[in-house]
Amino acid sequence: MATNLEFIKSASGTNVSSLTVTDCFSDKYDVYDITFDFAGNSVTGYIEFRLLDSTGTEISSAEYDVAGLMMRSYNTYIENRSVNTTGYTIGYNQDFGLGGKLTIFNPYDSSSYTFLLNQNAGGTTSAGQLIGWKGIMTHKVAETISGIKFFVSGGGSYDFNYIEASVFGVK
Amino acid sequence: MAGSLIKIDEEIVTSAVASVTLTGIDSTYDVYQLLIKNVIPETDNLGDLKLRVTESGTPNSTANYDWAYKVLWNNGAFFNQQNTNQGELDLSGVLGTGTGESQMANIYIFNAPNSSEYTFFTVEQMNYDKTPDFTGFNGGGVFTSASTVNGVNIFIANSCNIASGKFTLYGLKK
Repeated sequence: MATNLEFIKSASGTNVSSLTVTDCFSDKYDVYDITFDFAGNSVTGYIEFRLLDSTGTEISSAEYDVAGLMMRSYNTYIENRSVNTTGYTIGYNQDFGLGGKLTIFNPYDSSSYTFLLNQNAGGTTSAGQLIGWKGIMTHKVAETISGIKFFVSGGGSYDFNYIEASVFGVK
Repeated sequence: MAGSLIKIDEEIVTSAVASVTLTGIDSTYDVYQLLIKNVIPETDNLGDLKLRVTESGTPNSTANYDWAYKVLWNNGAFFNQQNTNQGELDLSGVLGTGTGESQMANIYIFNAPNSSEYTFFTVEQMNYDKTPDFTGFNGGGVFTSASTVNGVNIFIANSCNIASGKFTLYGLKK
């Protein structure tokens, strides 16, 4: 039986500070599921996320509205929220590893904002600390989005030991 | 998860309707997924998006819906929203018609066709509301009646029509 969740592409990297998945959106789908997992080489810093415009250029203008709840097994929860920010903090840098899923609405529709649901969980070797994350993001410019980028906010030594992402279209 | 999603029913609203009903839930699948996309109300600042289950295609409006959400938003402290014994499941804050003020949701439905179990929902939702603030519900709901549920009915409170939107029901292949 034909199914309605179709694999589009995947990308991966080792010892990199960012991962870009290009040309993963098209007019064939309007909703996408993206699975991702990584392990960091550090236990500090946050993982950031941005969209790529129709030319493949990273969108770093203050065009994102975001809200995320960082749920820690070992401490109080932290609320991350911002209006007109330059990217989306998607999770924490986890050397135990982290896995999650994004659901993205409307990326290829040049007449709509792009919306994103995010959930993930990961941990660090320092006391085996778990961090779960639930969040939302919108890119509030109506334009065609062609891809995505994950990157480590600390840069330098705060890179990914590995990272991989797979994109699926929902018909 | 790859290749595991089967489309059961879909309605694309392009002119105003009072509600949308999607049916086809039965014992073929244990878990169903409801995707709601780009919902815009006909009237600004009138009502929240709501959901009722259907039994034999008829919406059940009895006071058997409970929910609990953490509400995320971009402009202030997050807060809890919960209720019990309501006549429908709440799916959003008050909807608006301004630029970008559309509604998205990803909902999983459990036990629906099982006449001996309650029907449970996990809810992930986001929208620009009528302010417009960017908000999202994260949590779950339950229909506390052990009955055979065959679908969902989606509408906006206070008799507000749905001007546009896309509603798709999937089964998760066993």
